Amino acid sequence: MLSLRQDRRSFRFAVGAFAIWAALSLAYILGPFGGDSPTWIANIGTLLGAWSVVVLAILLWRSYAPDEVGRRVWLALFLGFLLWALGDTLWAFYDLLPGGEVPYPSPADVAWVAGYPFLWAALWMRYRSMEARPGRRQWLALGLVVPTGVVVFGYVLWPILTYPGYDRLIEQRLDALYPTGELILFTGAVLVAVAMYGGRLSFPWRIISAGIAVLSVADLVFAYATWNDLYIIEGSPNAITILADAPYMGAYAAIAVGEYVLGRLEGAF
Amino acid sequence: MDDRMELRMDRPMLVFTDERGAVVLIEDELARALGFDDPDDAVGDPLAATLGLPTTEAEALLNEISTSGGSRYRLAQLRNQRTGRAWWVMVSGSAAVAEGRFIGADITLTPPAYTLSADYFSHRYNLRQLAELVRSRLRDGSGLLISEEKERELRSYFAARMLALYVLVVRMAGRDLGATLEEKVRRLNRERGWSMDMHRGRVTFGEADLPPEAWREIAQVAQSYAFSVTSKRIVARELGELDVNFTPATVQRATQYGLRTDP
Repeated sequence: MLSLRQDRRSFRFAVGAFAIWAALSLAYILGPFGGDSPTWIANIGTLLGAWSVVVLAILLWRSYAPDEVGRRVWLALFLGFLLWALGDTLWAFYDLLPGGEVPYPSPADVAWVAGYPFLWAALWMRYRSMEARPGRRQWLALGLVVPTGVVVFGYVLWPILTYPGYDRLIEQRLDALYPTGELILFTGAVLVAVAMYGGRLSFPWRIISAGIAVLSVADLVFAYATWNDLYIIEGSPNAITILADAPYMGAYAAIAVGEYVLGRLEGAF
Repeated sequence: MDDRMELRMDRPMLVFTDERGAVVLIEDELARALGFDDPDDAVGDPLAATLGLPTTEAEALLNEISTSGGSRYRLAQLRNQRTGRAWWVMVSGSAAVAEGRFIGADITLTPPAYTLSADYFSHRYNLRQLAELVRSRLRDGSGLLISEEKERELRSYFAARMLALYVLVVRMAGRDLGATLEEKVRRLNRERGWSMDMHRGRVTFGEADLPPEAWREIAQVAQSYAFSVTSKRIVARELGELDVNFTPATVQRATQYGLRTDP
């Protein structure tokens, strides 16, 4: 990629992030230490990615002057990612307790859900601050996002909303909220990247968008797998569990790379 | 007019690109020599297509500039896209950077007999050329009748600053947002009834004089937009490099009139 090659530090960071993700994913799939090692590896990988994203968001936030739009955008992104990292940490705590079972909903869900409004607001502020006029590219992007939304609604949301067997309403609400929240985030990130099309800043935002998109897909796979009792919490992961967990770690790695490249470009690092 | 003669008789000329090699700014004379009726028609086109160079040659040039910060002199044959007429020039270039990162190429085309100084390889020098370009356009174009040299220099400063902001926004955030910047400026002018226009970063003045607050307000709108799209740090650096091409008296006067504010 042209933009990464032009800055060696960004390139090294991207290669390092990819290598760590690939190594952890491989270790997660192969389970070289037996027993519960895949569970440990998945959680360690996720936490490493999630907290890296938080640290980079802090650095970006602090790099802007107090009255800059960028500072408000990155404050909101930092708070959103912080809440998600807390959610991931709480999930890992329950997940790694010997013989323990992750309750649903759990305090992790509170943190994850609380993170969404900050992330939505951040992308909205970023998009609004550019005052981009609706153009062909914006409509094209929406033309891709809308069918995706229809598919998500038809195959994920509708079954959840119409399922009569929920014991508790809160579970149904949460199951519906996660894919909806991800779809809104994905739309926002795509619109920001498209608005800057052709400019230098577009590249890091494209990476961040891709990370959010992968995160959304991983969450959807997770939702589908848990819905159908296919997700393995302890022991060797099956194919669908791998498809949910490995991209989840990778998504955080991609977002971290996007943040780093953006920070380098903005002179923050 | 003979395109070759036009170039040979003139000074070195500039083409600015974004990081992908799409033209962001091209000097009017050069664009006409290359067969563009309106120089703005060249904006957004790939460098190779604009100059009539083979794609591989243009890519090699841009690659050298982006990876090493500049390029050696190289001989290249430009081609008028309408008539097919070709002529040789020396091509060199330097990288435009924001916070150390490549955001575009400043390419200088020189008649082979012309001797280039080392200055031609720096982005700062190219900003000076940009300021000169604006000065000459204001002197020669739009039928301006400005008696005061100070006022003319101030206008040049203002126009160079607006052009530099436009080029920076396009390079960092793409042409769509460059167009948004212009639309903001045009909207402000419409609302206030001021006779100024901005197209592809180039400022043109109408016959009616602009009141002092107009300069101030327009400059602030453009600068604020560039801040929100990029960052104060990047904009301050770019404009700081532009300032060194004007006399301290002009910069001081621009500050007094509110054309220039520290971020």
